[in-house]
Amino acid sequence: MVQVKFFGHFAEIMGERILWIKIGADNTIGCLLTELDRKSNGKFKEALINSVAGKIHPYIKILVNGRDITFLKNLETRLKDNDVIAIIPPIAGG
Amino acid sequence: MLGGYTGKLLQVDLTKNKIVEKSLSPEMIKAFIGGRGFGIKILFDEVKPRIDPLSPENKIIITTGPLAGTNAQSFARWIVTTKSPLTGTYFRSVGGGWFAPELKFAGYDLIVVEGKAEKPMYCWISDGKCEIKDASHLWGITTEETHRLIREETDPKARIVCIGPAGENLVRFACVVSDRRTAGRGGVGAVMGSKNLKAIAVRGTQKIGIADPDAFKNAVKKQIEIYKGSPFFDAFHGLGTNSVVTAFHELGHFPARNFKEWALEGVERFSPEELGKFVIKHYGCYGCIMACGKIHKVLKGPYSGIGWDHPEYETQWSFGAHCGNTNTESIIAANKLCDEYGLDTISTGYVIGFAMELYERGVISKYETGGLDLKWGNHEAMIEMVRRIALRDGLGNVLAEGAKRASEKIGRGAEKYAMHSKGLEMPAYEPRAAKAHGLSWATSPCGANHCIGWSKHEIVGIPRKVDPLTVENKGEICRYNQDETAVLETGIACIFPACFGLMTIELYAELLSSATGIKEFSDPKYLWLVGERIFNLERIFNVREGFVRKDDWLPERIQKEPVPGGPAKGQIFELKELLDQYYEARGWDKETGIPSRTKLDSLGLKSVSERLEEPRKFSK
Repeated sequence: MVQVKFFGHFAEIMGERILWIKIGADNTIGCLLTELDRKSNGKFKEALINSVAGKIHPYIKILVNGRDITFLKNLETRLKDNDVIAIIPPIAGG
Repeated sequence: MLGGYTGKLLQVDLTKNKIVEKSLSPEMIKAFIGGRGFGIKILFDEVKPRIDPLSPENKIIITTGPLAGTNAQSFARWIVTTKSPLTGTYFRSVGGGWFAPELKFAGYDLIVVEGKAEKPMYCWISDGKCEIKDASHLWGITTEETHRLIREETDPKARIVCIGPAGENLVRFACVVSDRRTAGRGGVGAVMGSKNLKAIAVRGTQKIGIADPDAFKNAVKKQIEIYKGSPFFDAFHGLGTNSVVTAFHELGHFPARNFKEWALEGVERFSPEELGKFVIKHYGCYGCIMACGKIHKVLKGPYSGIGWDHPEYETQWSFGAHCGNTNTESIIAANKLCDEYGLDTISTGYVIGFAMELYERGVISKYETGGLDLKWGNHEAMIEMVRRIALRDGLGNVLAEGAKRASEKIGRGAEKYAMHSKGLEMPAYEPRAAKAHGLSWATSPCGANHCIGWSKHEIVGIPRKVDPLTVENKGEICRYNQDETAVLETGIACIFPACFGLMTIELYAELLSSATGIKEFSDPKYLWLVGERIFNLERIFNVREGFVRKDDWLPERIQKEPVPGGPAKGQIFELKELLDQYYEARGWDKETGIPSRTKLDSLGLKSVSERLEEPRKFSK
């Protein structure tokens, strides 16, 4: 199981701020995002993907244990039990 | 007259009780543009080296920018420039609200204050008429009450900058307050207090001229479209800086208990959903549709009844995670007290957390804390300590000197727990989790200041994502963010839009050149050069005061202790390697950290480089 934390409007889309998701044999971030999209009846992907570019909005952060997947293996980043994933929309402040 | 500028400054001599109006020099305008640029130019030229910052020989320069009071968005900032009593360095402290436009409407681009009044005074400036008035009756009262009484005596629409009891008591991190916005850091309020200057009040009805109204209107329209089209706009408008607390914690940037721990149990209390429950009103500074200001109310617990400006992200940290405290109502209360007394919330929360670590470790006793049980998370003791610092009572009198001096006075090994750079207490963010950001703190002319070169590449991925944990190329990234900030603070732009890619040098060039009519300002390369010039002159001011490479420093806890967990687990801060890179990127001498003569000459600072014959003689 991995823990997924949702920030901002992603929490509204998923209906929860935190979900525990069972990971399968093909345990990549890409598969996890597909599972989250399935759970939300397509609303998750709609919020995640820039429909023009066909890619994840550049300002959305997907973290695995606090590390942006851009600096890991992007969607091919492998997950293991008890990993913490965070989905963060554009945040402003600080 | 050029657009944007009034073309005039006020020189206030408190010793002679005299105010003189002078013209802005065209050479200074071309070379330094305004705002932060004017501040360092005047401070460097007019304040001798090695003076006591709390002596009459120091000066306070309050500047506006050429775009203040126009329709350009987010340019209403004002800057207080002085020699800091906390760091002993050059210091620029930036505030928001409405004071800067009003000063322009009253007819002035900036005010230079020198000397010391015989008794408490305030300045009243109204459409070109200026007086110095008695402030004895205002001395000792809060900033809120000061605003109210001065408005009764002058004009209900007057805009005011003032100090509270902390500034009067020369607390080394006292701030200057204007309608609950503050020029927070560096003790600029103490410099005002040392001059017996309680406040400056302004009221004006004059218009700001615009050189090319059509081009300016188009540039502003473009700016508003950029704002409204950005996902960051809604995020920032919604909750201001409070929108990021838990997300930054996730990134490892909400360090707990004096940078000893990375995770804060109970951090959910700082989620946007929880902090959003306090909000009763949104407001914005003059001329800013972002409207990131919020008013909070507290309806339960011992702090019930408070309605006040919300604690910003940094304040949520300094009185929150840093003190091991998750009682968010108490942070609202602490924020209100700091504003009323006129205290920097970052330094105040910082020194209290620092004292908590000393108490928990047995370095200081309950006798020395005056009976306060300064355990982590004890918010009642925390609130009481704010009062004692402002009024210099007991341990408060020691902490009022700042963490560096307080640690030296306490001794017993306290120095190793004082997290500062050049005497400015470290703010929120974990430097080991964002190396260019930490490098900016170490090399900043004002000490550990997070706004001097906010590392947007590492923290939000703008203009491109950069791995925050690596060391490669961080010298250049740090230089870029520092110089860009220096350019935008000539305007004086709020840095938030730039941090999220909503303000660029190119857009600033369009706004500035169309407003002022100065052709050179339309070239972004010209503006970048001015930014670099400003940053280097700030550096030379500090070199003249004896600051060199060894002062570009972060504490041992940051350099040597690995982060215990979280995204930056195991990371330390590679200061030497990062500094070497940075000096190379800057064109500064690697051994001393002093700008080379070639670099200064290339920036049009020949008159400065000629005086810099022997860089080593400036070393302490």
